[in-house]
Amino acid sequence: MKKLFSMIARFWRVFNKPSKHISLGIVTCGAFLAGIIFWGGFNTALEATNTEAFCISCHSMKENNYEEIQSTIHWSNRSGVRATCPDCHVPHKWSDKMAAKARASKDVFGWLLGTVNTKEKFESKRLHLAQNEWARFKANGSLECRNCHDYKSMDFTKMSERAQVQMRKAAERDQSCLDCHKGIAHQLPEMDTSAISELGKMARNLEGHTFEIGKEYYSLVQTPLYKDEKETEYLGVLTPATKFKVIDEAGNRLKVELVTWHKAKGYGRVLYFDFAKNIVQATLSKEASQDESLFVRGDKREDDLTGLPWEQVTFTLWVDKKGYEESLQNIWDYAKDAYQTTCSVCHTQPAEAHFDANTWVGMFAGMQGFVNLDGDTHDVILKYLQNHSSDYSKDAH
Amino acid sequence: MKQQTNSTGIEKKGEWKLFIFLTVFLFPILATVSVFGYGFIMWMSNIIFGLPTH
Repeated sequence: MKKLFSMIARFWRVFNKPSKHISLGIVTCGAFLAGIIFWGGFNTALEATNTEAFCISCHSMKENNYEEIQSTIHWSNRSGVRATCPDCHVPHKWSDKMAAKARASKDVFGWLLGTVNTKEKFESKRLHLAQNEWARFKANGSLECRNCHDYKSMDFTKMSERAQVQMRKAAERDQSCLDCHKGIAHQLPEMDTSAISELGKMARNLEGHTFEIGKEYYSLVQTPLYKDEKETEYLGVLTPATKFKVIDEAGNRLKVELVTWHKAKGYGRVLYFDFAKNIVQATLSKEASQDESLFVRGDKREDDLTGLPWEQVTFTLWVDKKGYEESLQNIWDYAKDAYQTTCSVCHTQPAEAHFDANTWVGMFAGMQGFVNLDGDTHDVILKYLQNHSSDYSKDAH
Repeated sequence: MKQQTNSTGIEKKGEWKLFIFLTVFLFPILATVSVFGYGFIMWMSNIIFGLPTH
């Protein structure tokens, strides 16, 4: 230690004085050359860390992310332009690039500790990793995408009609690409759709519940409908969040009254919540929908838009005794939560009252291919949206 | 006289040693560290003040 200090002290004495033996020319030339070599070397090294070969020198990168991109359009396409890892994942601006490089030093620890060294570990971290990148793209408006893709250079007329509508709107708002285009270069993480089973759980938890005659309940899950208290063959299925009134009970079944609408043309197999609104309450078999002993006809009205006659009908059917909800708000709370978590993974979800009840059907159908929803959650979210659509909301726009 | 030449030789050797040490090791290392430090500061400021916008 003492030796080191004396060495530093000796160096400092030489450092602090004009050089006696090395000429100024040699000092400046030497420093100049060393500077050139250093800067060149530094940039070469930096660029080396900015190549795909460097990225995939780690197994977890090569076997997950790199494999996945190879089935996407950013790997091979008709124009032969390829996006490599750093094109999208390293900022091009120098200061942000340095921040990214410093941040990437964390990956070295990850590598040392083996944080994602197996497929399972990677999958369990995938959502977290994806969210980091999504946050970055959200903040910078998908800058790295837009180094190549520019709204100004897009010829909307060359797009399919459906794409045109969306892209024109996006361009107007200068929207961030990843608001919609998530999971285009790598697999999407498994989304948490646990809100689903929550409905099923609610339905199960209420088993053994005593039902009050004359009280109104709401279905939680898709619920089979029967002709009487014994018949095992079901006549149709109630969708979740459908209101019914308990009028009798027998054995393990409840006799319920369902006030609903159907189209008074054709079989009228689909039962709707309201006149001329495509909000499905239940679907029936052909026979059940024609069986006059099951329902009483009410009001009849014609829908001006379609020219179809609609009729209010009150069905009397049987359902199994299981979990039903007394408060519709509880169901809507679940639906709202599921809507927000599932849809916001890819985009900012539109306000419920942004569309009317019938438009939501098409909107929702167009989107469900992107997510993995089970039947109950699908139904309950759609119904939530329709029931809070501009048709029913006070603050519609 | 001989002694003086010797001490001049040591002095010269010391200067060259320091020169090489500075240009080849210390300054490049300091430069690299300061660039990394800059990146680190940018990273931390991103955490505090939010990610870069466009």
